[in-house]
Amino acid sequence: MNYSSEYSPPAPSLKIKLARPFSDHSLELQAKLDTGADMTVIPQYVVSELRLIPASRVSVISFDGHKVWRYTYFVNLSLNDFEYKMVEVISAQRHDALLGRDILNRLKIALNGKTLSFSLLDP
Amino acid sequence: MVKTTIEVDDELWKRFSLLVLREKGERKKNEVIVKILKDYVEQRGLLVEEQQLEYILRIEEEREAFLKMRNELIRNPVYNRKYVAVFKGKVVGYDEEKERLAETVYKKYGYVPIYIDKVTPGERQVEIPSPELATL
Repeated sequence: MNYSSEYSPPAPSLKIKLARPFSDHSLELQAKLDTGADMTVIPQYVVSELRLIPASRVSVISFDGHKVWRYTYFVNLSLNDFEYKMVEVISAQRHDALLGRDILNRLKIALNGKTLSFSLLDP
Repeated sequence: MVKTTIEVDDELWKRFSLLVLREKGERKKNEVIVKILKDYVEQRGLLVEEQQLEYILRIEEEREAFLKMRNELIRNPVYNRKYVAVFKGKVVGYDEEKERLAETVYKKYGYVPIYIDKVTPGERQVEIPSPELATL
């Protein structure tokens, strides 16, 4: 897969599918691989469109140590041929998703910045 | 529209007025305060439609019940360090895996506001260091 040039500099990004639990109601969107993120982040509009129900609260620490709390949601997430049920995510005002280490640590990821390409495997 | 009165430190108000005057011009303090309030609500994910607000209010009630029980749950080895699900003010499930717990309780009670949290003394913390999320 190729890095997306929609980001500057280009970033590893791919299409994911998010679905409301116990429902066929789903949508696809772009997600950027973010090894720094402890948890996957989804855009706020997805919460509204899928009518996700908050399940918990976490304290989120950003890069400058700033701390805010956010509601979490359980969602079914799939990418390529991989499917993950009941992934706990937080939402933010953004257009794409961030795939955090909660998902990335389940995969073998190879990033090739030289060729701006990457691969995801589930060994 | 609601009209309200707040007490603010003299010096803080003076500095705030000066900043607003410098950046926005005269008679803009109200506008800036409303913007600050809106940002505060938005950053905490509460600038949402009515249905979401309803869910949030219900989850906050369950969270309140969880916080009242938390010390007791910590002292109980059955629940300590595990995830628990709180529904209608009571613990309705527990598991070491939050995904499995969510699946179980949503299957049993339906996809409704059920509070799920880890039984630990403090709140759960996650780090999302991406600078673009600085205003989470």
